[in-house]
Amino acid sequence: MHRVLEDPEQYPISLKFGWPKLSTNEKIFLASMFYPLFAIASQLSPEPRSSGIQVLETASYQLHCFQTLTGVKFLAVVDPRQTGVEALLRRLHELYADFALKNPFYSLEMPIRCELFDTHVRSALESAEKLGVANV
Amino acid sequence: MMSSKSKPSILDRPLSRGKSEVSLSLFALLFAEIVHYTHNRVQSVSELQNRLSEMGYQVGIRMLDLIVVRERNLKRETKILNILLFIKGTFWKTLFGKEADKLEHANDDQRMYYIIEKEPLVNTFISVPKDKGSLNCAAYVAGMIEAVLCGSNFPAKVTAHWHKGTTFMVRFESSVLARDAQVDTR
Amino acid sequence: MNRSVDPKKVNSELFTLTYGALVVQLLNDLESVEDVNKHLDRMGYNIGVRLVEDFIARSSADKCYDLRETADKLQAAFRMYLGISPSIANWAPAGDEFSLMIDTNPLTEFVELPDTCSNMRYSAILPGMVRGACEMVHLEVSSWFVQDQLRGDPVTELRVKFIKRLEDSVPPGED
Repeated sequence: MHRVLEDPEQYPISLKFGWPKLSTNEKIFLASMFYPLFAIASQLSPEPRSSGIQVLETASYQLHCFQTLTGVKFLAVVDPRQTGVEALLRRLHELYADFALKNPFYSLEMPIRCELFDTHVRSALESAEKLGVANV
Repeated sequence: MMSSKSKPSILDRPLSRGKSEVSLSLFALLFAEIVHYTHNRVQSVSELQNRLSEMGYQVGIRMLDLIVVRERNLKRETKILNILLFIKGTFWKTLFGKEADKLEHANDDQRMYYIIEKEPLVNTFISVPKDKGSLNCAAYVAGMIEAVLCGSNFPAKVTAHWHKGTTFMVRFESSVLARDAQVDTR
Repeated sequence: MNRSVDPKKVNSELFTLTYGALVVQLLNDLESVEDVNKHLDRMGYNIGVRLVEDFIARSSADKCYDLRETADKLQAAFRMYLGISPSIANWAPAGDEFSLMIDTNPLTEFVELPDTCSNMRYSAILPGMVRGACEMVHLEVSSWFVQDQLRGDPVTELRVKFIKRLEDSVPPGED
C-alpha cells in the first residue's frame, strides 16, 4: 500500500529555483524516505487519530502533503510565500483520478507517464503560481 | 412454488425516451477496462483498433435504430451528403452532446470523406504510450460511424487517425457513388 | 474552496450499449457463462478501485465510521455515477449487511437474457465495483445480487456484507 509513488510528478514547482531536475528513481527514493516520517508524525501525536505531516517548514521552502482517504499522497515543495497550496494539491488529486486512473495504459502504483496528466499538472501549477503571487 | 415466475418480455416495455445520463467518469472507466481487456488479447495495434471498431459497430447499429425510430419517424437518409450530415449532426449530438467539428470531402478521391473531431469523448482521459504511437482508441467511434453508414445502406470503411485531433476517414464503396449520381439525375 | 463537481455527463445509452458490446465480446472470447460472470466481476472491481478516487476527489467525502455511513456513500455514488437512487433496505439484525434496491438498472435497459445464458449475472460489474471501491477505503465487503429484474424479480437487489476492516491497508494518519 505504499502508494507514495504517485508524487514524483508533484515536484516541478522546484524548477522555479532552478534546481537540477530529479530523476524518477531519485524522486521515488525521496518519497519513500518521506513515508516513514509521515507515519512517525502521526504516531507522535498526543491525541489519537492525528493526521500525518501536512506542512513541513524550512527557512527556504515549505513542503505540503495531502493524503487522500485511500492513502495516496500528493506533495508540493513551494516557496513559503506561496498561497493556495491545499487547493492545488486537491486539484492534483482530481487530475490523478482523471488522467492517470482513467487511462487504460496506466498501471496502478507505477510512476505516471501520461502526456495528458503532465499537461494538466503543468497548467494547474502555472495558474497556482499566478494566483499565489497575486495574493502575496 | 417458484417455477411459475414468468419473465416479463422486453417487448412489453415502452422504449425509453433516451434522455437519461450517466457520469463521464464511469463511462471513461468502463471504456478504459474495455481497452485494457482488448489490449491483453491482441498482438498488434491494428488488431486492437479492429476489435475496438467491431465493438463500436455493435453500439452504432443500435443507436442508429433508436434515433431513426425516435427522431426520424423511421425515415433514413438516401444521399451521401445527407447521411454524413446526419452523422456529424444528430448522431454525434445524441451520443456525445455536441456536433462533430468538421466534415470535409477529399480533393483527390471522390469516395473519401473526413469527419473531424478535435477531442473525441472516448479519448478524454487517454494518453497513448509512445510505443503505440499510431493507436487511436477512437477506432471505437469509427466502428459506430461505419455501422450507421452500412446500416443505412451506404457500405463504407471507416478508420480513425491522429490528424487535426482525430480524423475519421470514410471511404465509400464505388457502388454508393454510382447510386448517388443516379439519384441526382432523377 | 470551490471544488469542481463533475459536471460531465454522457448519454446513458452510450454507456448501456457499450456495456452490452463488452458482454457480447466476453461471451465470444470466453469458454463459459461462468467465466463471463467472473470477468465482469473483476472488471467491476478494477473500475471500483479507480472510481472511488474520483468520488473522494469530487464529493469531498469524509471517512465513514460505521456501515450505515458507508451505505449512504454507496447510495450517493450510484446517484452521482449512474443517475439512479437505490433505496437502502433489509438491514441484517447485526447491522453488518444491507441491500441497495435498484428500480431501474441502466445496464439492462435493452436486455433480455436468452435461455442459453440463464445463469449469467449480466450486471456482475456492479457488485465488483462495490467491492473494489470499499477495499480502497479499507473495508472488505462481499456483494452479490439477491434479486434481479432480468430474472423476473420485481426489483434488482444488490446485497452488501461487511467482512472486516483491512487494518493493514489503513495508511498512518487515517485511522
